[in-house]
Amino acid sequence: MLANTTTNAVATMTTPERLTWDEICQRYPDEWVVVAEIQPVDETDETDEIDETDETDEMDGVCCVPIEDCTAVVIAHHKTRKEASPSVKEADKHYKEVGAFFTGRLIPPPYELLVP
Amino acid sequence: MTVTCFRPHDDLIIVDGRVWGPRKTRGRPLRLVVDTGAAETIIVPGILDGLGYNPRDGEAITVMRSAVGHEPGYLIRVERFAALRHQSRNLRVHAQDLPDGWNIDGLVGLNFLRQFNYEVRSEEGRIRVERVRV
Repeated sequence: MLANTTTNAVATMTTPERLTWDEICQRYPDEWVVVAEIQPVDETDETDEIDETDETDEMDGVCCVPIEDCTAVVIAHHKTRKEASPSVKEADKHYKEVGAFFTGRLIPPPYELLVP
Repeated sequence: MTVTCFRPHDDLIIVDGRVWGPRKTRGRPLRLVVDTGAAETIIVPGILDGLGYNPRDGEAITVMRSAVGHEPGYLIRVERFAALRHQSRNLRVHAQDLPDGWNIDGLVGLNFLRQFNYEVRSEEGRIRVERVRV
């Protein structure tokens, strides 16, 4: 399902809205969101600390800020990863930076105790 | 030495990563679980397919046995993989679907982790990582 649509029948994109991760989770709970234009909320964010001996060449300037500390534009949202895959491929054609993330709690799958 | 934060009260140690492929020069952001019990780093096949990798280019076809059956996968070398603020080039990863309900993109396994000395500080929610110099 494309984001920013008012009905399922009209799948047109409106002006993309940049949201924080918290806003995305509130708007699309327990769904896979396809996001683009991912940017750190604060470029000086120090969620991941590096000490003075950091090997700065390790990451070649790659952004390693967690999605929770970024803003992004939601391109589409789906119930499952498989349903989101076509939207990711489509978004890849239009955006440099695309990702798909689950907005719910990340927990191990439930299991049953065979021997109590 | 690098330090990566995670949420200490989550059920899993979840960190961000990135994988690059021939079709996407900026790579794809990932959410991964650090799993010192996994021999191989796992990435779900859908992500690798989207980056331009093909099972036919893989080094081996695999089958992962679980309680609910056999899950096919393949081993393939990726151009570049990053997690815990470090990266590896030409890293072999296991393209493998994860069970339903695992809403993550893969696992950071020992074949990546063994390049480093690392310290998981569970209470603080920090992983300190230092590359092993050979």
